[in-house]
Amino acid sequence: MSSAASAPVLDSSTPLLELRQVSVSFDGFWALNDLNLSLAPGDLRAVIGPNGAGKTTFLDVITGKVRPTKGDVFFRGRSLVGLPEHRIARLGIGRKFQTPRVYQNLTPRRNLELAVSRRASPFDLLFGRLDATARDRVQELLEVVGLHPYAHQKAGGLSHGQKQWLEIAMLVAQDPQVLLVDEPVAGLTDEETELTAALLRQLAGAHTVLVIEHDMEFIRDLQAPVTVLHEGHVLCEGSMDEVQSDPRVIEVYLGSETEAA
Amino acid sequence: MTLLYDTLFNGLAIGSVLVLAALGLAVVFGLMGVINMAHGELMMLGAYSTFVVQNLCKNGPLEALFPIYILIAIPVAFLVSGLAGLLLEKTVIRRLYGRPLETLLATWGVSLILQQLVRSVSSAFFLGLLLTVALGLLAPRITPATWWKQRWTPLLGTGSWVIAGGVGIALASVLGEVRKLDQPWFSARNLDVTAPLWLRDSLDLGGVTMPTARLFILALTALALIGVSWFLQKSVWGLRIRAVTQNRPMSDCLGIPTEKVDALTFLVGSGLAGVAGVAVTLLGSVGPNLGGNYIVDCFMVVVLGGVGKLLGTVVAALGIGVLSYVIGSGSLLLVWPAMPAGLNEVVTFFATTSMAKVMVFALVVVFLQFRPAGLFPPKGRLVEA
Amino acid sequence: MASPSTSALSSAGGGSPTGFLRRWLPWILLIAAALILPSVLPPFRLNLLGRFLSLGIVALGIDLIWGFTGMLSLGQGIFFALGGYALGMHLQLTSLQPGQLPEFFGLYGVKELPAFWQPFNSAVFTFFCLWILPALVAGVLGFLVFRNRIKGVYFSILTQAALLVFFNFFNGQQKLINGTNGLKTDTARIFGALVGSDAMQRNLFWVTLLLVVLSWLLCRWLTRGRFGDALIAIRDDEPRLRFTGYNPTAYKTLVFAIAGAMAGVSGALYTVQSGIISPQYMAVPFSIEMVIWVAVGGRGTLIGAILGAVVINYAKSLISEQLPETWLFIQGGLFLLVVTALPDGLVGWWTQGGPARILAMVGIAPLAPTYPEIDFDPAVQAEAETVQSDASPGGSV
Repeated sequence: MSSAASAPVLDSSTPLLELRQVSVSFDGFWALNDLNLSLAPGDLRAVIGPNGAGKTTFLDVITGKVRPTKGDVFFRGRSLVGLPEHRIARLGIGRKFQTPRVYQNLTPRRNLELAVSRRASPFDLLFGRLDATARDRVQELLEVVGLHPYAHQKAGGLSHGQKQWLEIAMLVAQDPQVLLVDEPVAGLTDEETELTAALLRQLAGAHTVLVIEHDMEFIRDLQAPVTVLHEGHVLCEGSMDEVQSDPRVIEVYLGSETEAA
Repeated sequence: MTLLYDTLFNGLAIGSVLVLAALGLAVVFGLMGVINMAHGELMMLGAYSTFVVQNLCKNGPLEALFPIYILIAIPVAFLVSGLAGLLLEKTVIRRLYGRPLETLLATWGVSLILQQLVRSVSSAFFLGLLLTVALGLLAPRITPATWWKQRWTPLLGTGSWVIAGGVGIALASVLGEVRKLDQPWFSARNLDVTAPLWLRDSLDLGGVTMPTARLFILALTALALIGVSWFLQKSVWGLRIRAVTQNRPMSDCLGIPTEKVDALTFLVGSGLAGVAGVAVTLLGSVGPNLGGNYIVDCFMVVVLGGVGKLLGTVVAALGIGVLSYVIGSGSLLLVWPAMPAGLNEVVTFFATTSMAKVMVFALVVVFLQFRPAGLFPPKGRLVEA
Repeated sequence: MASPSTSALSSAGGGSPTGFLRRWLPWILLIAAALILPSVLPPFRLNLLGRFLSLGIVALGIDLIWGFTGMLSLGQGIFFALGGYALGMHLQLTSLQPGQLPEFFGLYGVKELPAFWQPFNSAVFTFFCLWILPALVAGVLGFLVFRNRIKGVYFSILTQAALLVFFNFFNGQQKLINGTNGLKTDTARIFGALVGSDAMQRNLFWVTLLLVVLSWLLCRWLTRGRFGDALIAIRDDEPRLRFTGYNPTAYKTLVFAIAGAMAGVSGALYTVQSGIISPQYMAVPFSIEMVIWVAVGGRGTLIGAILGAVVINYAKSLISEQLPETWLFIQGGLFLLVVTALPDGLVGWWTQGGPARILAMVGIAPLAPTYPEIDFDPAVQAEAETVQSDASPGGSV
């Protein structure tokens, strides 16, 4: 249980994570423009949008990599703006990157052990030991993502799909309240994609999950509400069917959706 | 007022040498992300080229050219250093793109070799080296072709170079017995380059005496800056260089010859080091350690200026130049004679050239606390890929 | 496949006689060498060996920050020389009669011992100072740089600039620390014995050997566990570690300070064995040389750092005795060789089957498919795919 005791009591109606009128400017180019979005505890949400819609910048703002030019981000009623990345991660927001980023020269097991650790100071790592629960958790996750046969070889030698899953497993090991997942199925086979969708559906409920993806079949598989980003702001929200029939969405996707449908 | 001019001028003079020295480094680092620790030694090559040109013009048929030998030395030094840089790029740096720390170490190794080269090089040494290179390159042609398709071929490649090296060393030591051939060309001692008369003069401008050599360096720096910015902004190859800098794979796809672009960028950057080498011959003697005296300063200029903007390099170099002069000459005391005793002591403490460097570098580090990416940082989402 | 925990246990136990030998033989050899070498080697060679071994400690520190954490410092000479100066100052003071000043002060007309010299009268203070001071300087310097996320080549350049700052400072201050001449230590006395004497040098050799072993154990402890994993994670992908909730600045500052402390110890040992500490220890080339010891020995392998320092310096002293003008060519060549052909150094090359490959090339030994190659074999990869899809996600999370 990673929730801090002092945090205000939340019911499902108050947002867990909320972006209020967030704008980000890179040298005069507005990557995000007056973006509003809120997630309730236990939500599973998909975010789609054409290239350059600001999807990755949107995650950068939440996780503290990019500071919003205007607006504010709240997590459990507390502003995240100005906090360093590791503090935000410790508060309970985990992130998986677009291209799989694992520690190439560590084994999958050690990758997971770093992620699962509840304490992160150098002295804790030097003098503290990983408790049995955490070690069991690592073993369990290795088995869940099917990496236990490779637990003792360097992660750099894993295949692309295995790295994707290892990174998802690391995210889960972190046990965050909010999981931000950027393109989890890029480069995976159809079968792997289906399994990833199942995994994410399982995670929702106990966690709040936000998925960014281009793969429309995968989004449909998730059976989650969809938010469409366009030019840095929310174009529309709704179920996959509603969104797909929205004329504005069809327009920004240059008709590619109509062909697909 | 005179003091202000004086300070400004001297600071500019120090700064302009720095601009010239750092310019090539900034081009190579900014555009290719390559740290060239041998940059100082490329400057040294430029300085030695100046020395050779001067010697050729001193006596003999070219004597009439002596007054303008320095103008001849500029393109010669550009070519010598540029070609040396090109060779460096083709043989070493090419293999190390994307590994900046390794590049740093490899180019440091090259700088050591170049330093010892100018100390040791004699006719015998040169001929031995020539033979080694020739044998090494010819080895695949003069041995049976089947040798090069064996399991042990990788050993043969290394081995042929080792043998070529051995033969070269043997030749050099045999030739070294002949006194005339054993004479080092430059020796390890410092050499003096005699400037033509008009560069040993000084001009009186509004109460400030300015050595013409300093003015010459200022003009040379300005010219080099204009030349480089014209080249990068207006010429076709400059456009290609900028394209490759921004997106290498895309440029490749568009048919830009990226390998040629890399080589050209390196040639230009190294050539600029050679030009800087010409300039420094006017300020002091020429020796194998010349490069080492400039390299750290140049890197500070690049770090302070920020990567990828020539303006940053100029402002940083001039800033460092003026600051060094102000601190090193202790001229604050002249402006403010009545300063409190404690401060006075501090100012006097730092009022030497080497202590001024201590202060300036400390200030640069402090500055980087507030602007970690330098004066003119690159912006946008490309920053941390 | 055996479960990982049991296999780890059985390999650590070493029940069989060969296992026992493998585990203890290096130590037995080491102790034997420590006992035998001082009576076999002439004092001059023993002293050289002791010096080079002490350089192994600074090399271990560089391995820690560069080999494991990925930060290339070109300024370890600062910390090395600070340790040397701390001990050098103490030795200057211990060999004085009461009321006397170190001789060089007279040359510059200094009548009173500068305040910062005073504490070095105390041996205890000096003992702590020679490693805590470099660690503090490294910690502060590192923190300022790491806090701003300055890394990669920028870090290298800044450490080099810092080195030049310290060099200029120590070189220019005659009145404070005898400037460019440095401080001599071989005529000083320690526990009543002359530092430069053969007997004392033999003791120092043993002390050095002991400290090298202790440093190695320290580094092994630091790099074996999860702390070491975090260092490697910083090297592999620092931003990723940040998003996992770790603050890399803390790790980098700490490990840079530890490397600084080790450099200080190394510098102090080197100083008493070479008889002088001078600003030359902070010269730019010397600090880059330290890096090449680690690179040649094998970065990321602790034993490689020590071996590299000893072997290269021994080679340097031999070659410089015979053909002084060729050393720079060889050293330059080493820099080129190690980055282009031997990225993992000699130890890395050895452990990754380098000798076997050479033998196989000349046809003496068959080129057996070894573990990593097997993994790239298409047939084996196909097998791995099926294994993986059998074990695909399905369990509850």
